Amino acid sequence: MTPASLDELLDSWRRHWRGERIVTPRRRYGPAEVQALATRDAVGAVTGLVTFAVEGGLGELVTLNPERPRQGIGTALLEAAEREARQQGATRMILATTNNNLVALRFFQKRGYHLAALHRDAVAAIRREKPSIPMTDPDGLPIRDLIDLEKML
Amino acid sequence: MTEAGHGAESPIHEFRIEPLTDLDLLRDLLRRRWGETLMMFGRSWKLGEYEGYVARDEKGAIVGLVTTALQRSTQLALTIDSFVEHKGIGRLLLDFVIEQGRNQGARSLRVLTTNDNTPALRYFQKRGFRIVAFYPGAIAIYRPVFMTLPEIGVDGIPVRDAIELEIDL
Repeated sequence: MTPASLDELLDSWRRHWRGERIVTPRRRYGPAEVQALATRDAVGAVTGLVTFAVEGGLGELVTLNPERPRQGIGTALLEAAEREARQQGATRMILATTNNNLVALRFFQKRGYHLAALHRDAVAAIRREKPSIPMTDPDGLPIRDLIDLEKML
Repeated sequence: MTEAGHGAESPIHEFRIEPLTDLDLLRDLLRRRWGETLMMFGRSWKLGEYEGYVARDEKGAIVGLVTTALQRSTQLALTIDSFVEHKGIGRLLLDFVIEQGRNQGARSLRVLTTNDNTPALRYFQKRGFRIVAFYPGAIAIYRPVFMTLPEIGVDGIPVRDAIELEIDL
């Protein structure tokens, strides 16, 4: 687990998040507002990247994107971000996902996160900024609400 | 409280749905499945305050049960249970209760599931339901009543919260 460079962060965000800004129910994050950690393969290429921020006692997991599924990369990145946030004084970690993202709901709940809040129709405001966010996901589920999950660290 | 529905893989015309007016039988079926006849949905619902409908196969055997009540303009599906899997019974019961709600003049239908049940969240959202409310920690309150509610649910996830989903009728 090593810090990720700005280029590596931007590459991950552009490919997974359609841009260089991440909007959560708490704030808008640009690359300068987050810390980024990456897992790497034997030659140093990024195999997964996590971004997070700590303010007061609250950590926010901003993005988590393993590049290879089912190798434990997501779990390793999550644990590293939690460890860092805790060292920086966070007692609680929060994150937002969308109503259709059942993979995330399962992944985070299996790792100690609880449902904390439902922000109905919150994606509409984000879509105004990122019009390329589709109305429905490939599974046919509408992308509409933000769901906060949190965990005590 | 509803189980995740699975896709209808078999024709469903072999089943029929009828009202269950025998409250003793309804009590037995609910106790066997949920350990209780007192249902929690917004408030508590006693046996006799909600209606039960059963699905029967061609031999008359009960293969599914739905309990439902009208609360102002919202139809509530308190329980949806299929006793035989992968026959489309859950879907049949859901379609029935949607129709029932429309006939009674309900403007929407609500169902309840739990935080661990991502298959149900997917199923209901695919059917046009949307998540309308979370009740964090609600299951701890229900658990003394529903002896059959497990501590650990789908995928090993702790069962803690109630989630309401709604569809316009």
